[in-house]
Amino acid sequence: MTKQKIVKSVSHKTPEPQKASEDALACLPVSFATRGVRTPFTTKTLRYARVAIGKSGRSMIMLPGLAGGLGTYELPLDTLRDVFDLSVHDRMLFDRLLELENIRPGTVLEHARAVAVTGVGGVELARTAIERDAYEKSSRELGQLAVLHQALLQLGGSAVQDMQREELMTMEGQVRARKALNRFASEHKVANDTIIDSLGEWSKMIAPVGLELDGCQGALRVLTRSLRKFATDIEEWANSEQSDFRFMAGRVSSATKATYKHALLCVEEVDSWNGELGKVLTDWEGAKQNIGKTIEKLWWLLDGWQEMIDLWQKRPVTDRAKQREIIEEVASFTPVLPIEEITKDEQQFWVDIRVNQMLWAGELRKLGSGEIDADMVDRLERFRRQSA
Amino acid sequence: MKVEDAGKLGVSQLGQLFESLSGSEIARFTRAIESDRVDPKLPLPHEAILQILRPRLASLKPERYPTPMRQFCDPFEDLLTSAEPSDKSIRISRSSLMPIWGVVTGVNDPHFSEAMKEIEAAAAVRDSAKLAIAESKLWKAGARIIEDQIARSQEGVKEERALATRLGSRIHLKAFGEVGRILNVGEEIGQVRARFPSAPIRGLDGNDVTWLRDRFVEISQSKPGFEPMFLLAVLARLLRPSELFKLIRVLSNKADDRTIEKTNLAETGDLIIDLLAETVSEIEQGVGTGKDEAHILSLARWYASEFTRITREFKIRKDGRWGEKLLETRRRVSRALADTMFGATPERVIDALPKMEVRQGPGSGAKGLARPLFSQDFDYEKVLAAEKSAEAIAETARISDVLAAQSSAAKAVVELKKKLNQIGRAGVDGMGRLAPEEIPNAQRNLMATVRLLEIVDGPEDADVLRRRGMSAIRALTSQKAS
Repeated sequence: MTKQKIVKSVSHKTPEPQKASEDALACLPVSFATRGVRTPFTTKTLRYARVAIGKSGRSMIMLPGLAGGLGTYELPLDTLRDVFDLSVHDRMLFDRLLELENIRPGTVLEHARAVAVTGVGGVELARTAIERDAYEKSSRELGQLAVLHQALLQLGGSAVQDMQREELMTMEGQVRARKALNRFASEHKVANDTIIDSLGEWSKMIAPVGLELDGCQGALRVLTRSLRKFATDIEEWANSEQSDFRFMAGRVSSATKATYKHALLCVEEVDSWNGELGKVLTDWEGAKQNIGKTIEKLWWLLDGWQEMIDLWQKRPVTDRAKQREIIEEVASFTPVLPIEEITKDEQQFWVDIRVNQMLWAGELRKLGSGEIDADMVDRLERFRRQSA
Repeated sequence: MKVEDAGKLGVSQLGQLFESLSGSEIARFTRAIESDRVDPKLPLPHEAILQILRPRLASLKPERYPTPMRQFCDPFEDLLTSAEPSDKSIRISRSSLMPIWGVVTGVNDPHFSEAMKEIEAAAAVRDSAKLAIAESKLWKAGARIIEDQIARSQEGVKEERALATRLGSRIHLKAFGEVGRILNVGEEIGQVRARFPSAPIRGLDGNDVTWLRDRFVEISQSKPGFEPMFLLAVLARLLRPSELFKLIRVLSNKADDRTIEKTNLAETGDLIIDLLAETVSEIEQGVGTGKDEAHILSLARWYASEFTRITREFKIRKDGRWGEKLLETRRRVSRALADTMFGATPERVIDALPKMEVRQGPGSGAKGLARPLFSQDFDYEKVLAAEKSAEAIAETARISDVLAAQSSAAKAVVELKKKLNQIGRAGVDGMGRLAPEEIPNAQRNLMATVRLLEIVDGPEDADVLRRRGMSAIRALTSQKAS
């Protein structure tokens, strides 16, 4: 691809001021797909970048990742290496992303983890990825057992009410369980194996959310819960701040709470199916689609939040000035919800967050901690000028 | 829970309880405890409870219950330090507070006692206007008491020793005098704190500078001689001391620092540079212990940015009053970094990776082939520390021109690159002889070398090494599979 072609496809989407006032909603991404998936590049200039499938079906990268919409640079993903000096970690991630046909938070995370565990991005990144992978693996395995146990208690009748979850790990326990479930299958005219298969499929499917039981909570459930604590922490922190930071932190806290509410609805929906296993298993194909949709929505809703929480968690304990810088960064890059996912009543709230974000991101640039952003804009502009 | 029940709980129970309380509940609880401490009605271990609350309070920063001593310390709160300040430091040690307070209250000055009572009364009814009046009275009386005490101590050696005895130690004498001088401008500092309630102040804009200039001019008319104390308080509240040069530039019509000693601002400029010198001492101490390069880096970065800002804000000349002092600090930084950051640290980076000299593995026999380099153990902790050290070296090298440490930085970086490349090459070359079970470990060693090389030399050569290493591993696995 020639540089000219690349430049044509680089669009700087900041509209004229009068256009923004005409349609305030223009500053919000339309859908999750247009908001894109947060991609954990380590190259400083690519912080908070998002990857999405563009209108033409081509993978695009959005910078500086301000959740799509206003003030975001967009360029085809495959041109990324022509514009930026990528870190070795990012080169590996980039190679994988280019191959991805389906850009979703779950798949991007999977690839990002696969790169991180190699250690190419440093020991800390590798360690976090390994720990999270291990936790998810164990919650998935324990969750599968718990799902089977739950199914037994709900559907297996009085004969298996005394069974403990641990017994399912023994051969004898499995035989007992199978017998009990066979009874349910024949009563509801479903093939025996189908019930077992569906249960297996079910437990795998809900693994990212998991169950509300100790050790069985999936990553998305944990993250949803972390959102609530994050909002409270930030609110508490802001109490002693001056008005500007209180305002900024207040917006972060409200945005977090608003996202939490949406996420909680999804988690509750998954849990409500858990309570009606019989219904789900007798029409597994139908239920599968609905559950899949809800979990996918939850992935998108929470995309980008883990980084915000991690950033806050790593704050220095006493250095207030540094803590403020972190709040500024979190405020500037808090993921906004797209128009499709919010009600009319919520629109003004998110527009307000988004408009303020642009001011804060500007401040971040001015104050030096965001010099990288200025550098990035400079590179993009230079690239465009050179190729014109 | 009722406040009176707090005394019945153990430390860990209290800790757990406080964890579960919200910010506003903690603030209310603290206020209740502090209020009871002034006039105890409940048999509570006030201090112990407050001690447990302290970490949470540091993050919450709720409005504290006004006590005479707390209000007395307000004007110099930003100058307080828990560490032992050096002779030249502008800081006041927290350990000096009680001795000073003891001497000031021990005088039984009627005005001071009256002000204390008024503070307690105003605090009990939460009357901030009355509190402000009482504070001002307290500061004035406090300043006068300290002045009198110092004047008397200067009458002779015996008198001086007597004051030192009352303070408990001679080391508090300096802080005693400083507190007295600051209290003279307590009211004006109060105005600064009201204008900039959130410390530290991030930056001064044009309006702030004008406002501060007006206060400075007022003080120079009403309390001549105390201007530097006012500026000192402002300085302590600033995130970056160099910001104060904005004010100095407005107040002084001099173009550079050669003639600055003729103005009353000279002392303040000295203070800023002394503050910078404190950072330099910290760098030297940090380097001395040689443990945390990341910390030294943050100090060096801070120093470099302050140095640049000062020289940009004000024309500092080599032969000027501040120029000489400033360059002396830079010489010290340069020396400290050359000695260790660029001297010993590169060795520590290399030390985390497989050792080139350990060629013979157990059981390989005297004439046998050397064990592949990357089959050696991988130590997460060591590599993590090495990454941090390498980052510190690379970052410091980037600002070495400001620190006048280019040559030692360049030498360290070149040396480190050379060694990392050697290890990388030798490691990849030996990969063909890896046993299958050694592959995961070898990959970790490879990636650690890649990462370290990238930190000091950028991604290009590091990526080539990674590709070479990964294709060696691929060849090995496909060979083993077939």
